[in-house]
Amino acid sequence: MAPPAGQIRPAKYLASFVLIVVALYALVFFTGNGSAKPKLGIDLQGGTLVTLTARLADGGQPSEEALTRARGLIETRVNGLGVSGAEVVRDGTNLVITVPGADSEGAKSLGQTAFLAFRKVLSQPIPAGVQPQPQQPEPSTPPSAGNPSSSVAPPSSSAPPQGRPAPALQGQPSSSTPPPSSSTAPPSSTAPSTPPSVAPGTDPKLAEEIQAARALRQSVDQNILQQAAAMLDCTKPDPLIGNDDLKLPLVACDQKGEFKYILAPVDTDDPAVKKDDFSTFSRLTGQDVDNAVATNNQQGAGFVVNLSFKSEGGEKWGKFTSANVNQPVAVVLDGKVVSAPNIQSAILGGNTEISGKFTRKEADNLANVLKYGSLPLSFGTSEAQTISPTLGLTYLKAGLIAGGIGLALVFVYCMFYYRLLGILTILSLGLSALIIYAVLVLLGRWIGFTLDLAGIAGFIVAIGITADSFIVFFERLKDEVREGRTFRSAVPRAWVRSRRTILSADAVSFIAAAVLYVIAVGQVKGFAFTLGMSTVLDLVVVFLVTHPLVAMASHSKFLSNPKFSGLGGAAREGASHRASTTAKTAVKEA
Amino acid sequence: MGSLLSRLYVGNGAFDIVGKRKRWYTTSAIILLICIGSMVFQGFNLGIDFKGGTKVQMAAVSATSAPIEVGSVEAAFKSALGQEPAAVQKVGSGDSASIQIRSSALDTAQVLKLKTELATKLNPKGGQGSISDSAVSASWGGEITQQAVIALIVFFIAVVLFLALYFELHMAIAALVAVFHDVVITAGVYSLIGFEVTPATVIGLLTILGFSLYDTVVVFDKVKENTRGLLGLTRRTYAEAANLALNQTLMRSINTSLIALLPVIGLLIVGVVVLGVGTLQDLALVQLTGMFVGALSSIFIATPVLVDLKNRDPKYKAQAKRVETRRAKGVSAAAASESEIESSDDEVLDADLRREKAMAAAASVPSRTAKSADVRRGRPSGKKQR
Repeated sequence: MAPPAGQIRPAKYLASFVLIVVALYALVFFTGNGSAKPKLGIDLQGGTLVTLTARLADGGQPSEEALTRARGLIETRVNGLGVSGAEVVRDGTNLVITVPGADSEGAKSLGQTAFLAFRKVLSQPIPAGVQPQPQQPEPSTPPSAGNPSSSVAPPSSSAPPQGRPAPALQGQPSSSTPPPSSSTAPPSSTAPSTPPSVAPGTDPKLAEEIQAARALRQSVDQNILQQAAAMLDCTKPDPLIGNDDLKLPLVACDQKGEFKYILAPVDTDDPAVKKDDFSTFSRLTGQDVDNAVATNNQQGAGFVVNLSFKSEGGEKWGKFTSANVNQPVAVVLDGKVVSAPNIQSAILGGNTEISGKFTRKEADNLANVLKYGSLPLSFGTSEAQTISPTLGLTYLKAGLIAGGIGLALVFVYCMFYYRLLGILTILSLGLSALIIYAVLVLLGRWIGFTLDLAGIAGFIVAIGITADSFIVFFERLKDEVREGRTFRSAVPRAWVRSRRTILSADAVSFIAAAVLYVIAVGQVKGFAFTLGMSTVLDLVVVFLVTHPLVAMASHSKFLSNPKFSGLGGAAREGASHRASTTAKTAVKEA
Repeated sequence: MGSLLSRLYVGNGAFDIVGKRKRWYTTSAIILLICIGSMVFQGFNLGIDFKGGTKVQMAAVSATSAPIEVGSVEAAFKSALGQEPAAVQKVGSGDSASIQIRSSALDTAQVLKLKTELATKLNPKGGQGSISDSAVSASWGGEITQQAVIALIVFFIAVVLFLALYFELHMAIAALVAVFHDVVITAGVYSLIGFEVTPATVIGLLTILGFSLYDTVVVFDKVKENTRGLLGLTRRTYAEAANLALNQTLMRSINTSLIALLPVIGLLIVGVVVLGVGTLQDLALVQLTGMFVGALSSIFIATPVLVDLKNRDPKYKAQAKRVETRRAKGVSAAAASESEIESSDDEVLDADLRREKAMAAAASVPSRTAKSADVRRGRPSGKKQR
């Protein structure tokens, strides 16, 4: 097609489209990991998806803060599973855990409530040195008292008795000069709660591991505990995460995996132990904590955490601290020691200051753990599914086939009905698919957008919407031709008119998708997102490709031949229309 | 005027849709009543997501390529858990054929036990790792639906605002009536036929909204165009102008609906034939129903309602009267409204074109002589008609 001068503009549009495509694919291939694959949802690649719904005891709405905190906790638990690619995403008041891969069922038992308890520390912290250690005392700097070098890490151990007027605890960031090998901490092996027994319905294999770990690390026999402490490897996923028994002692790592502790039971059922015996048992859990706030240290540099207990908790705390002055007490969250400050004096009345050269961040973290350790939320499993990779593949294939069939049907129809314009439609749809794919890959990389089956369905439905805007344009074109214009002169008029319609119609579709995306939960989001995205990209394609192409075709003698353009009928109609209107105007004027 | 097809194709107002609106209202009222009645008295066939329960799915062939029988699956289920499954069925075809077991809610341990039992007894292709399961609490579907209803309300408000600003309030209301009509009828069809309602169905129902409005917007755009400056003229009433717009866009509506339906049909084929169950099928089914109803309502409900709303406006009433008197005076109105395809927004269009040209001229290099020549050449033929 010999392009006359008038086509500079269409060419420009097309060029900018090509530029967009090139830019997108440059981003796809030369940024990130360069793999041109969109991120697939669990239902397409296989894996486990668990939706946990937060419920407050009183049925109210959980607070933003509590949810964020809960998400963090659950994420830590998920990471504790040691599976790569696992994610925890907030979706309204839900937390969605996705764990890809075939061996992912462990994720189903992560929903228990996080559990915070106070346990007396029975031994000096043991550096979690290199792997399983046969012997306990390691040469590396024991983090015990009087090692004031503060560390970057969150506080986690005993402290130097530094004078403090108020009843105070001194939490010393323990990790001071970490033993050379120690800092190979696990990804973040903190973790969950403390249901008294293995939660019903846990994976039997996991249940066995828990039993084994309990036998060792929660033994009542001091020797076995010592042994267990020596052997415990803080870099491995911990089956006891959230499954430790409060009534038994516990051998645990700290959150950073740097030190190991032997801890006393929180409470006991033993009738031989008097109810008011707080020498070993703190009998305190996160439920007793009223509030915890990180504040500036009035007496010196750094930050401290002010901890207050509820009335009954305060009493217990008073008795416990009285009985254990100069002993460390560990704050244990989900079976991991978060902090183990020294009790400096009996603390009566419940208000406590935990000091120890914390940075702001450390202090905030500790305060959060204390405050939200036992979340006021409980989670119900709303949905738990495991899709085998084979089934995922089947779904993926089915989705692609459905898309293929849909496209093919649209092609056939367009070719039949619009002939040349049909080819333009197909071309436009193809290019549209090209951009959508690139955007998918990029969004997967940038905002973690995952394409699931509902999302694929969204795209397929969007084929129709995209094709619709072409049709609006083409039908307008026909109208103009029918009114007696030539193909060539009809194009700009039809474009201006249909552009309005396309914009408004797409705006409505987009509103629908956006509202759905923002408000709905679950699969709906994926569907709405792809639908909205393809609506926007549809506009890009119509403006930058379809219209310029049609304009170009209209300038080509060969292509604008009615035989090819599928406008023959309309043109004939136009001719007769011209004749009749001329006649009519003649009549009217007469 | 020729055959039905050519009347459709030419779109010259040959179908008196607006004039017969009482008929469409009655029909749609009857259908709506049936639908609402069915929803109230019969309710919905709610899927597992609304009742809570566990679904287990595995390949329908064993590792040795022998088909696995439903009966043996039931037996394995019983021997593993000591209870009966709610239903066991074979779904899909070919390589994708699978066996689906539904039961009351099972806990993680039970599911694992069941999977182990199924894997050892029946040895499906791919082993235990190939067995999928999904457990849903009874409240999950409810939550999805609740959010969906909120989304629906927000959407309605957003769309009314948008349409009221873009078109006018009357059109917004008319469009809303049509959409509401679509949603109720689609839901009613589900209740009547007893299709299973799943979260995917709810999603599908929501997207019909966007689609149905798309169609309506296309028609209204033309109505707006045809009725611009109408009050100052006595050639035709609002109803006639709207009817003309409807006819002019009829082919467009049919085309867009058909094209939008084609991919959904693709979805349905794959969903029903290949997979047998699941998201694709549910989505496709509801969209198919909804798009069909949506296409009808944008023609038979939206515009007639708009006309009725307009006719309550005294200005339009007066104008309709003027048209009548003029016709009574003997001017052949019939001839005028006969086969004229006209747009009264030529000025707007021309302004748009001029602006376009100016912008292009400002932005681009050599002026596009050919193009401006086109416009000029096109204009006389457009102007002469009036």
